[in-house]
Amino acid sequence: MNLKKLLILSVLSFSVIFTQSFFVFAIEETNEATSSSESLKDIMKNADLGKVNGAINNLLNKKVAMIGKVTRITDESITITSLSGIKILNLSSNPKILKGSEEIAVGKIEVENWVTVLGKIEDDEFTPHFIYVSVATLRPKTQEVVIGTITTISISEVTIKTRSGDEEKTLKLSKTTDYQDSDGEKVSALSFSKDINVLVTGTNDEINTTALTLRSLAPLSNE
Amino acid sequence: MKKEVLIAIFVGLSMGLIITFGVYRVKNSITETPAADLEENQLEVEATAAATILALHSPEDGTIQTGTELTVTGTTIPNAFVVLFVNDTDFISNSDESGNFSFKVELENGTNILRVHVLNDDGGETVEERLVVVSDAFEKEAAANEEAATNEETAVNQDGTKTEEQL
Repeated sequence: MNLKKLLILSVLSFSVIFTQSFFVFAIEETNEATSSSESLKDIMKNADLGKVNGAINNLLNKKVAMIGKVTRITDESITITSLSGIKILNLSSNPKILKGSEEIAVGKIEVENWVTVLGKIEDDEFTPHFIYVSVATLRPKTQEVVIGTITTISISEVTIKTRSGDEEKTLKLSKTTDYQDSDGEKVSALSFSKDINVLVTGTNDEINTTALTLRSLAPLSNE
Repeated sequence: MKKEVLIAIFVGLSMGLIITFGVYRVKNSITETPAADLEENQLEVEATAAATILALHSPEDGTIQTGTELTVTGTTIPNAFVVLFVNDTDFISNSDESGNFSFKVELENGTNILRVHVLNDDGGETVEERLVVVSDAFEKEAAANEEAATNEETAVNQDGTKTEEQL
């Protein structure tokens, strides 16, 4: 009998402590959840719903541009190739097709023409609204940026040993080449000589690379 | 009897406390990340950051805008040379100690292709490209549609009904 009572008392004490502890843990979690939901309510109260709607509208009807070279033309679509891949433009939305300032029919577009397309993303699909046609390429010339040391320099060209390896690059210098000191200030071409560390930018025209800017990386000796 | 009751209560309380403490420790260990895991996560983040040498924040590719002014911003390795080409015009700058850089440029009307070149100390290069078109075609279209709608309304009024002003 005593043993029975003892057992019952032990179990009761154990249960009391155990249950109380669980209640404490539950209250802690509820407090966290309550504070989170209160923060959210504050945010919602302060949000400018007009701006939120405007932002959502922009996202839903996003205006986007793309360019590419025409590779295929049908009455219903134009296929172009761009840097991001092949895109098929659906013409069912009757976009305006312009060459210069003149509106033209889709039949006047030729393969190898370049196009700038302005459209909207509606229901996750791109819908063209304006197509500007160009015979000339819309891509700029290939550009180069080189960091290295001048090995030779003359009036017409400069040769640079690049930092990345033992490669040497020769660039043409022209009347439009900009010569700069380390702060970007203009200096004379005569300020540059062999062994000066430079950064050079240039553009390729399939035959030559012409330097746009020749900038010294360290203060020049005659500064 | 009293002594035995007290012992029973004491044993029960002790057991309860021990088990409660055990549950508390288990709960905390689930929410805590061990120090070793933290270090591993940090290394992963650093490795990813090193691989991503250039992040262009603005502009977005394919942006259409009516104005010609544009600010190009991005993040790269600290104190690096950053060269921006807008079509065939170049702009040279450096990233700051945090790797941030910014250019304010004037665009041409129509298509503008922007290329950002970043060079690291070894001369290695990373390039990112963006297309930005300066055009008011959508705005002109919207204005034309609005004018057409107004003209239609006027035509309907002239058809028979009088405007409030006329009355």
